[in-house]
Amino acid sequence: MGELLFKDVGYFTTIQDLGRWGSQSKGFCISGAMDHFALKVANLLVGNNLGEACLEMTFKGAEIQFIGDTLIALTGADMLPEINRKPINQWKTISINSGDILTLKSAKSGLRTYLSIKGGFDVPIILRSKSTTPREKIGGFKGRVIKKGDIIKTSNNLNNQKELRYFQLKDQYIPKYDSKIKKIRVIDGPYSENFTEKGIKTFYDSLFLVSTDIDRTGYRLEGPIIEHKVDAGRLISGAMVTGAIQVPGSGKPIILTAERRTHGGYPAIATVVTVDLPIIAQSRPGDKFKFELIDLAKAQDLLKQENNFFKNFYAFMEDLNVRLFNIPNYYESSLVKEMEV
Amino acid sequence: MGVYQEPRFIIAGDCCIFMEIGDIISVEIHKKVKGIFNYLRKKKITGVKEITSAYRSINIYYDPLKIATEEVILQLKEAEKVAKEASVIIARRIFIPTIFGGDYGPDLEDVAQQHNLKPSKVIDIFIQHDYLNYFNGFMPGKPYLGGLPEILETPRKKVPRFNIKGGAVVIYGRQVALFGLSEPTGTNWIGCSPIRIYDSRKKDPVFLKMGDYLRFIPIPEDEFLRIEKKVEEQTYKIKTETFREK
Repeated sequence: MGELLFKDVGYFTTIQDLGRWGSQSKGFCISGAMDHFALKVANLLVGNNLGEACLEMTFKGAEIQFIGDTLIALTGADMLPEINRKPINQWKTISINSGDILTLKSAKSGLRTYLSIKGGFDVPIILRSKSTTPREKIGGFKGRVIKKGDIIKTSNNLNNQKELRYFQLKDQYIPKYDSKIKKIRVIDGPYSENFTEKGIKTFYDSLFLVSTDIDRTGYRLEGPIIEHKVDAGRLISGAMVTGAIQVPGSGKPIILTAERRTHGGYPAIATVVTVDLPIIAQSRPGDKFKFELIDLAKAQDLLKQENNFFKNFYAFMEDLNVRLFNIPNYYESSLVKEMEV
Repeated sequence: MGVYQEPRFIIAGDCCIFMEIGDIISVEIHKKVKGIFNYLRKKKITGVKEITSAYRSINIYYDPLKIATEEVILQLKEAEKVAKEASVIIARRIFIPTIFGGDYGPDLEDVAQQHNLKPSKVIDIFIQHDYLNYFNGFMPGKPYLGGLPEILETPRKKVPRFNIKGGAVVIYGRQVALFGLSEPTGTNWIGCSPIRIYDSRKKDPVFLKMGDYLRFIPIPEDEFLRIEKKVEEQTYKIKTETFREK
């Protein structure tokens, strides 16, 4: 078993997988990676299951000493990684020798960086997930944010170096986070009928600024007031979805993200399509959003394209006869599982 | 106002649908929701990641690469027709020991004033009723309780509180809630219970279930402290009884 020793933890570092599905009816939020694309790529680069838990580091990265030889990958925001003070690249498989020190800096562009490790982190699976929700004090490492001095065990050690393969994601697939104006695709509602025509026009015609009030629960946006119909600013408490752009009475939109509540009572004017959630996750205060309406069929088609990307990635690795480590498949919707059929 | 003639299907993003069956909070709608919810949960539909409920809706989170949106709607329609109203004849009543007022319920005086009642009268009225848990949500284990008598209907506070603690008993509108974890809230804090509705040490950390009825039992401070200690030691048994639901 390997270990990670945290010599520094950066700004906000937690363990996340694809979320805690199946317990919203008990009041537990989904949580999970803010940027599912970066998490999945990180896992594939080290031969993990797509939905294995990774470290999610926000804004400023950690300094980690590894005990035991292993493979890692870093994806998402560019935190200028160095191993033993020598710069390395992200979006590729990196070989680690026992004692190596990984140092990350503040994100150059984007906001969140993912670190995968071969075999994953050895933390308990609580309610079918390793995701941390600090507010609920569950998941990840002791139900909390990682602190300086923490030692986290990993599930796998490498004995047979011959089986290792190294991958690098082609440049064309690496997302760019540096544009200041971001196009975000959305579908209508739920409850867009609670807004006036003027309110809807304001929403689609304006630029909205990402405020400094952002976290894993939601992103507050600044911009023109979005007008509700009379007495339509509140609803009987109902279900929520990640990506929903809620507009409370103030008329200022909030995009709900990974740690959103299970239920709530504000109408959403639109919902960010799943494939564009990573754009939100990598946005910073001061970035601007322009919302573009698409229909449900198109949104689901985009999701299918993203899924095909991962399927091809996986098939390519299988062609190369990469042994994929046998990790208990606790994440039901894992695409990898589908591929095994 | 009430149950819709035909349910409304609300597309909520590319992976979720809400089926809304009415436009108010009522026991009648709750029973229908519960019936459909239980029926669908037993069915285990491929591609469905999670099913939840709320006051007036059943919500399906699905993987559109495994099940088409139209198919999810068909499944919901069928469930709505087939599922009988939750014919719960036997319900669970849970007795929640609670201390009211003072530091344990700093808004009690204010609530009493708003209704022109003595604080003791507010407690008297409050403890006479059963509060139905329509569903759990928002925070782990937190019930959405209804059934507060009209005479105690109280608006939310204008300025939210930042220091409410786990175990807090609150009222807002005609609803009641019991907090599992410390949380800022704009609800009126009238009492505190030593029991934990969310205990992460337990295998099933959430105690209350949809459809449970809660009855609050006033206790003095020494009793509160005694129960709190037992809860800490995991030796406290919450008193429950079953009864025929009308």
